[in-house]
Amino acid sequence: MRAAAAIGAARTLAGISRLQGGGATSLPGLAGLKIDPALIRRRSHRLAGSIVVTGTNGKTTTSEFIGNALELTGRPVIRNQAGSNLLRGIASTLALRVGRRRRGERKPWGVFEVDEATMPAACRELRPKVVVVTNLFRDQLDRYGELKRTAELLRTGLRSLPKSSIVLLNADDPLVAALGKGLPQTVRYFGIEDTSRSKPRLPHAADSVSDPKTGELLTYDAVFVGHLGHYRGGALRRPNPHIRLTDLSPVRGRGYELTVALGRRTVTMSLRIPGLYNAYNALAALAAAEAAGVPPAKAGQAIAETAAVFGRQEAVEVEGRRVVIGLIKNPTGANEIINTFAEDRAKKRFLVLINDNFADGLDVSWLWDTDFEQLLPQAETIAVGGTRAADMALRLKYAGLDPEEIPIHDSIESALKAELARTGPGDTLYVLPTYTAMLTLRRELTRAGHVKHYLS
Amino acid sequence: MHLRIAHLYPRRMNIYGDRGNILTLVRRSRWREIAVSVDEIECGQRLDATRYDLFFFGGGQDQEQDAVAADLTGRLGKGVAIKEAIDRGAAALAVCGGYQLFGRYYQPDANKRLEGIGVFDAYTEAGPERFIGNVVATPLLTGLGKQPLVGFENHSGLTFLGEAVKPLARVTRGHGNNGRDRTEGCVAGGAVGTYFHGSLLPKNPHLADWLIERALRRRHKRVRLAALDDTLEETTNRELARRFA
Repeated sequence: MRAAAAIGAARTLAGISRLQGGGATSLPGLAGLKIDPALIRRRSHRLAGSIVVTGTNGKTTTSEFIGNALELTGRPVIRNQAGSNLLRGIASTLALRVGRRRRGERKPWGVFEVDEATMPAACRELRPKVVVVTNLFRDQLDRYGELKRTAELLRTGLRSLPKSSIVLLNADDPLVAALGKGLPQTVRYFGIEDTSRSKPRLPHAADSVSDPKTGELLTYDAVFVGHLGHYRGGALRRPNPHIRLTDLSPVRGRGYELTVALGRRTVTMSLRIPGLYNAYNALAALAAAEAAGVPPAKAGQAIAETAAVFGRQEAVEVEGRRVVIGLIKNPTGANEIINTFAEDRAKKRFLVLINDNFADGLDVSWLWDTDFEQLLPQAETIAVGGTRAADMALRLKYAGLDPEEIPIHDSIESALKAELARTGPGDTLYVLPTYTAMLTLRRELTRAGHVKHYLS
Repeated sequence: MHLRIAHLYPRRMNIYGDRGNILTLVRRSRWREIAVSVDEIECGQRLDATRYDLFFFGGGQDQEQDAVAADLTGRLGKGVAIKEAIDRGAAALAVCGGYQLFGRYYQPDANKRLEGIGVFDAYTEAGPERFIGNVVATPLLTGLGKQPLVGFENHSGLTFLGEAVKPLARVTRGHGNNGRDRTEGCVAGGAVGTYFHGSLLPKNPHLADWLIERALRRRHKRVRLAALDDTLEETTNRELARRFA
């Protein structure tokens, strides 16, 4: 009775919310869980299996890759909507998207991106067959305390998994790789072997550079993204990855050609999204898809066909102008976005939108760890907006920009309007928003008919 | 004139954007045509503390703080040398974890106790909750004026001040040193300790200039800092103080 009432309530709420044009991503699940706290556990029995993706950066892209790989091979998939990655978002998805199966219909796979703090509860409730940990970067420490505590949370979640689960960990992230020690489940590591695109030293934004046990500073032979790379020191050894990126060749403006070895098999594939961090997302997705029974060649094809998802570098046409959106939320991710933009050497118009709502993180200190200096040589203009527009303007002043040349906008709506007006026909406006700024931006673009509603 | 800065343990104590503080000290000096050099001092490296006009010490995660505390009190004698340099007129800014280690000790839990270097007559103990959020405080430091200090705090240690030091400010929003006596930070001579991140100095230029001036006075008799156009800094400071109040 209770279970049925919970699903009914969730569905009714979703219906009302949709009528009002809302996103309906968390409210139905929240109501459903209130009525039936076991909603997730009960509903997850109707799945072929769950795949949980957690970590600081790359959750959404990796989940998108995995879901598309399963779908390409004819496996139905349900997934939580991007960013809606707390228990309520998972509950919403299960309540609204898992129904009675028709005869002959296959059980769907559940692919869930899960917030790090929610991960232990999600593991307990979903009992996933596969768990992926992408990386651990300094992000929203105002909410979770410190990085090591986040690692402890994930460790708790992994320990609670069934013995038959498969755990996929990033070999190049010392904190993540250390999670695999002593786990009774099957643990597989993924990592980049090709060092041709590595940097010689750690960037300012690097975290977790010491052995979590002994405290000894790590030495890096190669650095790829943030603190991800080939490290050694203390009692830590980078584990030999099972899923290895053996060759990474950039294709101008179009991402990379990848050669990946999975055990004895080798796959070559193209990755249409620039940014080295996306190579990690592709590796993680190949590993997860393989664990779910998808042949790696098929998974590679699905990844190649996947366009950048939900604000992570999407391009929208607006009245003859292009708007490219690159979500930023922490220094490492933001640095990668900025580096990626720099691959095109033309001068660009930028709009940086910084909000400090709960979902963005209340603390904007990370702006000072981000190398906004790299924006200056490629910028025609840099405008700012959002609740912390003034902080962002200050950041740019101290990066070397004359404050008189920084347009500061009160609202995101007016920022978009003014900066689009400044952008010539056929030109591009590059927007770097934090999470809630991106939601407002998308709402504005949706209202103008440029972006499809993201639940439709 | 030349300002010599020692950045203590930037690889380990670099959390929460404290790099913005160094950037601010460097820029605000160079805009006035004061030469600046920044030396980065890590664990195991020797330090000639007498060379420096200003020490900067940022915040870090627990484990990094352990390693740094051991290095400060270890055989290289860095902690003693830094305290001596400050006693002889060098300026310092210590934030969060660095602030705690500039005190007498930090007791993060029942078992271990990290010895500080005693620049500040203050000690820190573990608190029951983590103080996380925006802070606004009224300066108590002479020469800073009435303009508030704004920033962000994120700490579970509770710091209590002794008789020999003065609080940096009185909080009007947020928790400050310990959430009980409304004090925030601490001042001893030219050394300032604080829990403010944010980064602190870019949006509190009055404190940045106070530190630069104190630091230069160590080796120069007459120091008068030229005024800068701080319209953006002051607008940001005022706006945040109003928003968080």
